[in-house]
Amino acid sequence: MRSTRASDTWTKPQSPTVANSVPTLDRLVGLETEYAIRFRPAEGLADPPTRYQLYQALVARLKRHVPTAPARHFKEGLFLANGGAVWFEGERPAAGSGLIEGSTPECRGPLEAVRYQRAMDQLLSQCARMAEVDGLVSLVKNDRDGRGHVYGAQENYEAVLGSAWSLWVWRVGLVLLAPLLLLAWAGVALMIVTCLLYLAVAGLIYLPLRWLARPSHRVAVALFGRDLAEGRETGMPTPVWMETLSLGLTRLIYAPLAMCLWALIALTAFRRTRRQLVPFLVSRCLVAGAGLLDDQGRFHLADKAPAVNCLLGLGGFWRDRPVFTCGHFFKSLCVDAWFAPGDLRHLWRARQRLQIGLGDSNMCETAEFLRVGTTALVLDVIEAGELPPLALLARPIDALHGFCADQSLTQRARLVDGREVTALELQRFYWSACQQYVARHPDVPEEAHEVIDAWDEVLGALEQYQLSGEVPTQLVGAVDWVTKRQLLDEAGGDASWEARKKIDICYHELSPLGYFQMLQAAGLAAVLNQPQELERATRTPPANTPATMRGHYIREFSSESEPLSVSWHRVVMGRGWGSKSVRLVRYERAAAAQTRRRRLGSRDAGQR
Amino acid sequence: MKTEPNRIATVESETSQPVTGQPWLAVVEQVRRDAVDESQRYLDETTVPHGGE
Repeated sequence: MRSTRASDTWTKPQSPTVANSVPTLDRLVGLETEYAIRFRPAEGLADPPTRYQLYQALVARLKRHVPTAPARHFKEGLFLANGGAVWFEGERPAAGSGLIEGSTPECRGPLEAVRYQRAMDQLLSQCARMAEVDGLVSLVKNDRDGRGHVYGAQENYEAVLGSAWSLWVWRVGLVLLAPLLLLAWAGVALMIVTCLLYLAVAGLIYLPLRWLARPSHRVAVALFGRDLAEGRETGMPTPVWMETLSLGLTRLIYAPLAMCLWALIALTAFRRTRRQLVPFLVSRCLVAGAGLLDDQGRFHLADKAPAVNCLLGLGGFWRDRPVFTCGHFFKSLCVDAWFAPGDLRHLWRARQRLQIGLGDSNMCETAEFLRVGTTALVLDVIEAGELPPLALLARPIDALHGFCADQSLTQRARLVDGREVTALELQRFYWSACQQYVARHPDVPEEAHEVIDAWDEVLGALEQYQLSGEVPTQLVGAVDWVTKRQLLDEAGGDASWEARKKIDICYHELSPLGYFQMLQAAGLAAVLNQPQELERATRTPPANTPATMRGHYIREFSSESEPLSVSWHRVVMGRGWGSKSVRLVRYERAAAAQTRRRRLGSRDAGQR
Repeated sequence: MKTEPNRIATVESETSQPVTGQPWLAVVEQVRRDAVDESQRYLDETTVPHGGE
């Protein structure tokens, strides 16, 4: 799976494809953010709540704030009236893991995506602080804790999966994977039956022992897990050993399918887009990196990038940390199909979700706007076939680590043609391509100009810094790594590693005690969204996206007596045979027609 | 096609030299005092066992 070497070069710009019919910055964009939970128990609290119980307390508060509906999904979660969702992300709950994950609704344009991300940050952090537990709860929007565990942000962009032959190979490949999928399902079913049999047998042995020998609570937890041993929902339904074993076995059972799917994706899905995006993403940490103090006390420009170890991966299945994540395809096939097999049809489409795992959780709104805006614009240029020729990086992952570890911005990376470039030169190349694209298309939205101008300002300040070595103070409050480094230098210069690491992490805490929020309260950080815009975004979905209809149903029907459950693809009202299911794809067809009309309109305007 | 002043640039220009002003120095002082206070406990409280495994 590890892939650090690219072998080919772009020899000429691609001819314009059907994809360039999509108006600039009009693709669907969604952001996912995993928040760490900080909990300080009240004095003398003997039995602190588990992370799942903290999640439940947060959700209880959330339900009082906005209309919600339970998610039809393998993960515990709920959808909100704005079309977004909140999840409990805990692959190892019995071992104590657990994060709160917030997903924005599908948005159009970077400013809208940032607005919904900020609305989600605000809503969840308020609910965390008001959660009814014996202690203080707050959320930390970062990508790595003090012990180096990695989590954080992911971005999703609607993009062209493939043209003609590769799309058909993709579809045929999916059909050919069906036997492997059925085998894996059978294996998992067998595993579940075995676990239930174990619990039955262990229960039969344990119950008489309980009367005779009165074994300790610890024995009961080790045999049955905390939920059964304590008779309440703690989020730890199995013993730790069973969780570890079943997770390992599940990976083993799914391994053949995972390998074949990975190969199919590598061969067919987003091939040209991925290849042309890599140099851009590898150097994007200059603009959107959140900064990191590592365990040796060294500063890196980005939080997650030093942990990234491959270009394409399933995102954790084999301990991979990829630039491009294809885990959502895997989950769609293996798990979502259980809930609604009909929803597998979305895997057939020519335009699908391109997920980027390389990216930090930004605190600066400008950095977040640029992270999404520059990526969406580069995607527009690539899909329009208007990216000028550029040799690929010889070893992209090594280049990424090198760029991130270098504060002087002078680190060079080798291209396959032997030349060497800095991250700034790569960013300038993409900026120049986007700037020319915007100049060539007079009908691009104003937002595209804003992206180009802000990107230019940041790169200009960094180029000045590269030449002079003087800190680009004008970027404090706009670019996270510059802001964090300045704070570390001035407030933690001679402090211990622990104190400096606290600055690194507390910078991301979403509470009045968080250091970035202190800067924001002092008027030292750029604000792109006004409070009333954020308040509206917590309750109202974006227009002209699948979230529009999802949010409408949640607002209108979540308080009805009939149960409502929601997924990214459908809304279901009622239970069992009498339930009514609405596929959100009906909306998507209307949106596609609208996009076609806009395309024709702008073409006509261009001809006139 | 540009009809309005750039929104990002406008906002940034308002905070163009933040690190020399009194508000910045006040925040730095507050962070300096807070960072050394129970820093190890803070790191423990924010640890995520197994991360996003």
